[in-house]
Amino acid sequence: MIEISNLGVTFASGTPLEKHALKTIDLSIDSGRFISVIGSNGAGKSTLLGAIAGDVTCTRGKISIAERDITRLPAAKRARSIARVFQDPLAGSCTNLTIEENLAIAMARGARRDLTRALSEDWRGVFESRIKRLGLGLEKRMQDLMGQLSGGQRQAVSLIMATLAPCDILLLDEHTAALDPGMAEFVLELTKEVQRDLGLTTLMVTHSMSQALEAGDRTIMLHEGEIILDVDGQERQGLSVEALVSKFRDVRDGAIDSDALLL
Amino acid sequence: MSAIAFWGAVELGLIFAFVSLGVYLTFRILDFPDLTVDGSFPLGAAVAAVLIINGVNPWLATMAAFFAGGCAGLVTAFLNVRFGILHLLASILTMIALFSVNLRVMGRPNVALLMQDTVLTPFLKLGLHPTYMRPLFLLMLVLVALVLLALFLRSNFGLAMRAAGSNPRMARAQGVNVGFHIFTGVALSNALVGLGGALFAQINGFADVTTGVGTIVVGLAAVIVGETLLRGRFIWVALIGCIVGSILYRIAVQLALSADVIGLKASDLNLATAVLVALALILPKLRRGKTT
Amino acid sequence: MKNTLLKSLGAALLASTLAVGFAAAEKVKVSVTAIVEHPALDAARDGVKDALAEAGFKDGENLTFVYESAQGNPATAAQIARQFIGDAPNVIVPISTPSAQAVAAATSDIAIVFTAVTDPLGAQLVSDMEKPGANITGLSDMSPVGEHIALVREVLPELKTLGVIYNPGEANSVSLVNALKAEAEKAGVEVRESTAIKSSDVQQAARALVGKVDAVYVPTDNTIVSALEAAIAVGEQNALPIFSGDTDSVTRGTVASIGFNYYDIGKQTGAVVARILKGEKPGDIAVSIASGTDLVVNPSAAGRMGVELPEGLVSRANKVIE
Repeated sequence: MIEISNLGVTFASGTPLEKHALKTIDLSIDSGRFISVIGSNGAGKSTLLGAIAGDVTCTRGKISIAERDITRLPAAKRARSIARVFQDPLAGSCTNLTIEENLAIAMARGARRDLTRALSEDWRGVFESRIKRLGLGLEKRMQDLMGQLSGGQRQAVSLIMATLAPCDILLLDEHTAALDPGMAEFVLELTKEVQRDLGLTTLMVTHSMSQALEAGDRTIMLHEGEIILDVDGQERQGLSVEALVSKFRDVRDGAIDSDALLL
Repeated sequence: MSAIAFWGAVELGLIFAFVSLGVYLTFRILDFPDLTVDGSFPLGAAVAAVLIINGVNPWLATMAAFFAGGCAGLVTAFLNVRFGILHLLASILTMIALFSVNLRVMGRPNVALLMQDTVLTPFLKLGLHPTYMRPLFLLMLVLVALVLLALFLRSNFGLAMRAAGSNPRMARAQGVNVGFHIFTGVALSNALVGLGGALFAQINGFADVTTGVGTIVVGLAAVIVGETLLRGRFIWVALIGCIVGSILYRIAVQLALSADVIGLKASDLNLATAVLVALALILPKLRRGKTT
Repeated sequence: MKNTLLKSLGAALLASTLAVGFAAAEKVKVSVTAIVEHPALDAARDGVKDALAEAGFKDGENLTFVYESAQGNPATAAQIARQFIGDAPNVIVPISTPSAQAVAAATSDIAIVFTAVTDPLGAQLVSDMEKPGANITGLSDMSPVGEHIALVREVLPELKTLGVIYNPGEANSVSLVNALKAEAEKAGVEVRESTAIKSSDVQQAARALVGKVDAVYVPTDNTIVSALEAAIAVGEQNALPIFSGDTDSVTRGTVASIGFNYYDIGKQTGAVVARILKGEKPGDIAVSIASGTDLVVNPSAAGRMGVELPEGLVSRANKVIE
C-alpha cells in the first residue's frame, strides 16, 4: 500500500541550522496493517508522517501509495486517500465552527466542494449516527461550537472526521498524548475499532511503549532519522515493554531522558 | 438629530454594509487583514461612474464595479499566496497601486454623476420621498446580499473557505486547497466593497479618488460593533451583525456631528472611531482574562 | 467701560437697523462645510463669515453660522450634507468639489452657494454658468484667464497673438486652455498652442513659439511650471515676454500675474450668500469666476525679456519682485 524508498528530509539545508530530520528511510507497508511508530524526541516520527501526508517536502527519495508516486503531490490533493488526526486537539478541527459544520467539511474530503448546501438532512443523519456511537452524548450538541468541547471529546470527533469520507490511510500523530489517561484509553480503543472496521492502513506515532505494543500489528522505532527496529508477527508478540525499553536504551547509549520513561 | 439626518445615516450605513460584509469575510472568516478595501471602494465608484457617464446601463456599470473590486482582491491574494508577501503588506501594495489606477480609470480626480440616471433613478419616480426611498432601496440590495452570502458560507464551498481561514492545517488535511479559497474569499470581499463604492458614487452624485480614505477602519468598526451586539454561533447572525454595526456606526457619527448633543465635532471622528475599535478589540481580551 | 458699552450698543443698534432692512428680526442660518481642514479652505470659510458680517449678518446675533469639516472623507461629507439638510438652514455653503457634490445630491430645495470649485460644469453642479437655475450657484476658483489676457494687453498694447504652453495630459490645463481661448476670442487675440507632455519637452515647446507670438502664457500646469526656468530662458534669449497664471512663478522670473487668495474667494462667496439671504434666488445668480486681487509684477524679468512695465501697473501692484 505504502512504499517509501530512500526517503530523506533535510531542514534549513545549506545553513548552519541544517538538520537531517530523516536520513534514509525504506519502508513498505501492506494494505490494512496498523503500524505503531516510536522513538525519542527529534527521531523523525512526525517528519515521517508529515512526509507521507504532504506537509513536509522530501529532499530526496520517493513515496508512493497504491503504486502511484505522490512525492510531489500537495497535501490537499493527498487528502483524498489520507486521513489524519493531530496531537493537538485544536489542530484537527475548527474551533469557531459547529460540530456538524466540522463534520460536513470532513465529509466532503476528496469530493468537489460545490455551492450546494453543506448540511443536508441526509448528511445530518449520518453525522448523528456516527457521533452517537461515541457514547459521549455529543449527538445532542451538534450545533455547539467545536471550541466548547473538551480535548478528549474533540479528539474523538476528530477521529470520526478522519474516517467520515472514504480513505485508505490513517495517520495518527500522538493523538492521545494531550489527553488525560481515561480519555486517552477511550480514544485508543476507538482508534482500534475504527481501524479494524474500515481496514485502514494506519501509522500511529506514540510516545508510550506499552501503547506501541498493545495497539497495531507491527512496530517500528526511529532514531536520528533512521529506522533502527522493525518488529512484526511472532517476534513482536514475544516482546515485552521492558525489552523494548532496553532496546531503546541501547541505541541511546544508556542516556535516558524524561520522555523515555513513559511506559 | 433631525429625521432627515437619521435616515441619511441609515442610508450611508446600508451602503457601507457592503464594506463591513466584505471586511467580515477577510478579517474574520479568512483571518486576512486586508487594506485593499481603501482602494477597491473608490475603484468601484470610479468604474461605475465612468461607465455611466459613457452611457452604459447603471446596473451593468454596478456589476462591472463588483468585478473590478474582485480583480483588485485577486491582485492582493496573488501577492500573498503566490509570492508569500505578508497579507497586510500585500494589501497595502495593492491599495497604493489602486490610487493611481483609480486616477487612470477616471482620467481626473473627480467624476460627477449628479445629472445622470443611476440605479436609483427609476425608484425615485415611485413617489416615496427620496429621504425614505434611498434607504429602502439600499435595504433591499443589502438583504439580497445578506441572503446570498449566508447561503454561500453554508455551502460546501463556503464551509471549506471558513475552514481555510480558521485552521489552514486542518483544512489542508481535509483536502481543502487553502490558497484557492483565499483567492476566492479576498476577491469576493473586495467585489462587495467595490459594489458599495459603486452605490456610494451613484447615490451621492460623484466618484472621487479620495473616497477610499479610512474605508477599512469604518468596515472594521462596523464588524466589531455588530459582533459586540449580536453574538451567536450562526453565520447569518454574524452577517446581520455587520449590517447593524454599519448602520449604528453611521448613527454614532451623526450624533457626533450634532455638535450640540455631546460636544463632539466632526474633527473628533477619527479619534472616536479609533477609540471605539480599540475598545472593542481590548474588551473581549479583558473579559477572557477575568474568567481564566 | 462706559465707552465700550456705548460702542457696542451703537454697533448692535447699527446691526439691528441694517438687519431690519432686509431680514426682519428673524435669525438666519448659514451652514458651511469643507472637505478638509486646510489653510486655504479655512481662509475661504473666514471670508464667507466676514463678508456676511459686512452685509449685516453677524454670527450669534441675527445669524447662526455652522461649520463642519469632513476630515478629508467624502463619506463623512455625504453625512454632513444630510445633517445640514435636516437642519434646514437658509443657505448651505459647501467648500470644494466633493462637498459641493454631496450637498447637491442631497437636496433640491435648500439654497446652495458652492465655492472653491474649479470646474462647476465638469462637477455637474450647474449646467449653465450664466443661468444656473434650480437651487444652486457659487464661485469657481478657476484661474482668472480673462484678467490674465487683460494684464498681458496692458503690458503689450499691440498684443495680437498669445502663445500658450501646456500639457494636454492634465485635465485641469485642458479646461484652462479652453477657457483662455474663449476669453481671447472676446478680446480679439489669437491663441497659439504648444504642448509638452513632460518637463524635458518644455524648452522645445517654448522655442516652437519664438517669432510666432507676441507673448507666451503659462497656465497653472504642473508639468510646465515644474520646468518653468527652461521657458523663461527661451523668453530671455529671444526677447519674448513670458506671463504666468500663478503669482509664485513671477518670483521665479515671469513678467507678471494676477492671483487670488482664498480669503478673498470666501468674501466674494459671502457676498453671494448675503444676496440670497436678502431674497434673491440662487438660480438667478450667475456662477462667477473668482476675480483676481493679488497683482504681482517683476520689472527686471520684464526688462530681460525686452518689455517695460507701465508705471501705473507697477504702482498698482500688491507685490513688486526686485
